[in-house]
This record gives sequence, C-alpha cells and structure tokens, in this order.
Amino acid sequence: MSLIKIENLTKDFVSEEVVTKVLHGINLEIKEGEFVAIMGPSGSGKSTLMNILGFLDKLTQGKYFFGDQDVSGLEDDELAEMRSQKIGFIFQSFNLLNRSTTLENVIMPLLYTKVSDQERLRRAKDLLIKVGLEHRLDYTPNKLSGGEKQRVAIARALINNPSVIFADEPTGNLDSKSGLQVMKLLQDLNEDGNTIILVTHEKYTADHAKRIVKIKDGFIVEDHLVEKRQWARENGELTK
Amino acid sequence: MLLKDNIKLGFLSLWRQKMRTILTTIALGIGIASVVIIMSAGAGLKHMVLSELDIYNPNTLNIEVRVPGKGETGSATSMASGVTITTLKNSDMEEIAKNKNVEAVYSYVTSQEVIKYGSEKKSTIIFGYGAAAPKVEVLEFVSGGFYTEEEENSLSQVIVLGYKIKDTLFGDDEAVGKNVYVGGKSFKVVGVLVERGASFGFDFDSIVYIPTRTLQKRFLGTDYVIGINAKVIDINKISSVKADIEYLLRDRHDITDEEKDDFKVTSMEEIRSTMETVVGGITLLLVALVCISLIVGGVGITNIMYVSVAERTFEIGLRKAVGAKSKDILWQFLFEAVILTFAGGIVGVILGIMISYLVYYGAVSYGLNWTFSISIFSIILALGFSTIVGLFFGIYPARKASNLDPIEALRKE
Repeated sequence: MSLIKIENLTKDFVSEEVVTKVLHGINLEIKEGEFVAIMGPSGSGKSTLMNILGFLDKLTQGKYFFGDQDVSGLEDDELAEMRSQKIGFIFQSFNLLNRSTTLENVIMPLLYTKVSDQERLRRAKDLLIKVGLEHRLDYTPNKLSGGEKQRVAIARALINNPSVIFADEPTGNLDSKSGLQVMKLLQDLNEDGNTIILVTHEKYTADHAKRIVKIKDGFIVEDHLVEKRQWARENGELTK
Repeated sequence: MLLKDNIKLGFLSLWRQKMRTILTTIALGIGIASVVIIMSAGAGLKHMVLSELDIYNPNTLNIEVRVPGKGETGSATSMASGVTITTLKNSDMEEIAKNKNVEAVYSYVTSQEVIKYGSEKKSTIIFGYGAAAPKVEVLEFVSGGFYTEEEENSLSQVIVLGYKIKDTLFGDDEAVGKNVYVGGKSFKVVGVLVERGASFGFDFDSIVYIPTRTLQKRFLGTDYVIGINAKVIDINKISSVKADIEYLLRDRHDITDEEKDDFKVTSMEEIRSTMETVVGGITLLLVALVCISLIVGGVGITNIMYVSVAERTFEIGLRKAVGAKSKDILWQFLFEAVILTFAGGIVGVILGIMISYLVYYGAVSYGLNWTFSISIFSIILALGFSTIVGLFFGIYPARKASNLDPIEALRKE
C-alpha cells in the first residue's frame, strides 16, 4: 500500500502581498520500503516538497494522505506530533546541538515522546552501535569529524522508529569517503525495510536510490526507476 | 514533554552558560536580599520603637498642651513656635485625680539647668515629675526610690538621677544620700534609675527628675505644666475616661469649640497603634522601593532570555523539527527563566539573612534595642516574588521562541 500519496498539491508563499507559486499541482505516490531520490536544481521546489511531505510546512491546496490518514489540513501541533511519531530527518549541515553530547543529541527527539528513560538510553546506544559510534557517546559535535556528525544525525533520525526518513542533501557537506559511508548506511536501512526519501541535486548521489523523481519549476518532469543503481561499498568513494 | 525532562533541560542549559547564569543570579539575588533585609530591619525597627513604649503602661492617658486650632501636635510644636500654653495647671490634675476610674495621675514640666557634684558638672534637662509618677509609668531603680507626695507638697529639694547622669557625676560611687547642686540649689539624691535607653531620640538616662511643684516654685516661678499622665484602673473604660477628661478640661478652660482645645488627650494604645502604622508604612515604602529594583532585575531577565532565544533560534528550530510542540518550547524557556530567578531567590534569601544579622549585630553594638527576626513570610515573599518575576518576565521571550517557524529557525545555524 502507499505510504505517501499527494494529489494536486500546490504551495504558494505570500510575502508583502506578493504571491510566489512554488509547487503547481503535484501528484506523487510513494510506497512503503521505497528509496526515492527527489532531484532538481535549486529553486525548483524540491525542498518545499520535502518540507510539506515531512510535516514541517503546510500545503496550500490539494490532498496529502499519509498511510490511510488525510493529513492535508493538520494544525501546527498535529504536524509536530506527526514529525515526532512518523518522521526522521537528516540534514545537509547535520544540525546537531553543539553543547550536547552524542548521546544527548540522539535521545533529543524522544524528549517529546512518552518513551521511558531506560528505553531512550537503550535505543540510543543500539543505534549508535549500528552507525559505528559506540566509542563517541560523550563527545560533543565539535570533536567529531563530518562523517561522524552525519552518522550521529542518522542515529537521531532513527530514534523514534520513523515510518519514513527524509535525507536532505546528506552528503553535501562531506568528503567522498564519508559521503559513501552515509549512502551505504541509507542503503542498508532501506534494505532493512525503511522508506527513504533523499533530496539531492547530484545525479551520482541520486543513483544510489531505487527511483528518481525530478522536479523543475514546481512541476514533476520525470519519475522513473533508477536504471543502473549504484551500490555504496565499504572503503569505496562516492564517485562523481 | 515531561516535567522532569523540562527541569533537567533547564538546569543543563543554565549549566552550559555558567557565566551568564551566575551574573544573573547575583543581580537578582541582590534584589531579593534587599527585600529580606528590609523586612527584617522593619521588624527590628518596630521592636525597637514599640519597646520604647513599654515604659508606659498601656492603660495610660497622656494629656498635653496644644496650640488651639493647630492640628494634632502638642508641646513640641508650641515650644518650637515660641507659643507657650499656660492654661494646664496642677489644679486640672487634681480634678482628674477625682475621677473614680483614675488610679493615679501626675503632672510634668521641664526646664534645663546645670547640675553639679564636686568638680563634675553637666547641663541637663530637668523633668518636674509628680510624685505619683511610679504608679503611672514603669520606673525601676538601681538604688533608692522615688520621692514621696509629702516631699513634693513640702517643695522638698530632692532629686532622682538618670543612669548616665549618675555615672557622670559619681562614677561608681553611691549617689543616694549625697547632695548635688542644681542651678546653684542643693538637692538630695533619693534614687538612681536603671538604664532606660533612648526613646524617640530622647535620652532618658541623661535627665533628672525633681518634684513638679519644686521645679515650678524654685526655678520657673510659674504654675502651669506641659502635660499630665493618668493611669486608668480598667483599660476597657479608657475611652470613656478620655471623654470625661476632655469634658472636664473644656469646662475648666471655658472651651466650647473642640477646635479650640488647648490640650490633647491621647491613650498609649493610640500612640502604640500610630507607631505601628508609621513603622509599617515605612517598611512598606521601602519594600515598594526594593520591588522597583526587582522589576529592573526582571527586565534584565527578559533581556537575557531574549538574547538566549536569539542565540538558540537554531536549537529551537531543530527541536521543533524533531517533534517539539510550541508549548514544549514555551515551557523549556519558561523553566529556564524560573529556575534562574528561583536560584536568584535562594541566593537572595541567604544573602539577606546574613546581612540582616550584620545589621542586627551593628544595631545592638550601637546600643539600640534591636531584634534579629526573619519571618517565614518574608522568605516566602522573596522566593514567590522571584518566581513570579521569572514567569512574568520570562513569558515574552519564551512565547517568541515557541512561535518560531522550524524551517526559518533551522536556517539560522
């Protein structure tokens, strides 16, 4: 069944009486277990689409179904609840709290849930083992390398057992080796059944996904499966 | 978000900005300390003032001369304005004594003379005090006693010395039975009073007492007095006795209009409650002034919280992105503000108690009849007020934080 389904979705930004139309009636369906890359040049509307799909922003018109729930008209608190329960975010600039430790950063999303203290700690440690950072629990982000930071961010994105993981240019600030490690993690997660939506403007990154959706000027211009899928390998480099 | 997580987060955040936390806590602590100090000092002052009234029985009525039509004031004003009211006489006192509800009564008048013993001499205030004075007010003696009615009626030259005067003239020697010279006239010392301390700036230990009639006849050559003190048998009847005396004196002084009274009758209870009101008012005024400093401190908290919100816009955006609701963010910042101000409150209370003790120590070594008291109320007030300051001044920045848009906020890294 489809996890995400949008029909005729539009988004307008209004500032000082000027209306900017960013998305013009987008239709898209993403099934559970997919690995979709949303591609497009900057200004194409791909970030806006991701923000709406990720419940960070409200749509202007159209329908958005998440699972069997119509989430088109959710209010701020309901959107926050959806982010808290269903979504994991990975950002280009990692977005870690610089004064907090690795462990605290990973646990942070659970502060806004009813998950118990012991369970929070257990999950965080398990995830940090999974991303290979069990020896960095007490480090603050400034002592971590870029790749390590992004792996902390991935652990944080997974802490609430999300239905879908959004990765917004996750390799954009990384060297090719660390970038490949991150792509491998994402592919492994997808192999484990996680739904992943990757936002990127780079073809070689997008080729690690299973399906590519191209956006241009607020319209979907291409939507097809990846023909020659790239597999990130241990010790390899992200080939550009 | 759970309460314990909020508190934990608040402490953690304050801990990670130690300098800011410490400075804010100190600033607010000083304000809170002022509240505690002033309330403690107010209690000390009240104790001091009221204990000065303890030398008077509560069931005492005081009748003082008054300049007609000039408000509430008595002898002090008439002296200052150069007007001498000469209408209050010993005969008035004798009539008051006939009231069956009056237990004892005496009149008084003052003068200033040089008192001399051997080579020691000192200019001092002399009180002409009726012989019945010990029956009306509390007079205690180191040695000897007060002069008698007979001695007063025979215009005897007898004198009772205040503690310090005796000390100046006699040192450690026994004074009772010796003769001193007052304005060149020889007076026999019959008693020495215990130390009474100062009352309203008037040093009771530096004065001497001689019979009213002796002072009138031997020094002043007049027959009027400046005041009369009467003790009422039944304190419940004090108002009716007061009315009786007013009626009697108006009759004797041919006064028909109350406005033209040349005397004023006051009960000690009235004076006491007036004093309590005055001291309470002063304390309240000071507390109000200090509250202004707390409000200034509160505005400082608002400022600091605003800076904190601005600095942490990204953090707020991130927290919202991973599922924090607006109210979670609101509480996070509100808790920080309240923890900060509550800490300031605790520091302030401790500081306030310490300084109040120093004030007490200083006042006592200065010879004042002070007490050290910290009321639970003042502590609750200080802590409560600081918490309210935190809530009140923290809410605007916290609301600003909670209303941030997560997408916008995340761009602020």
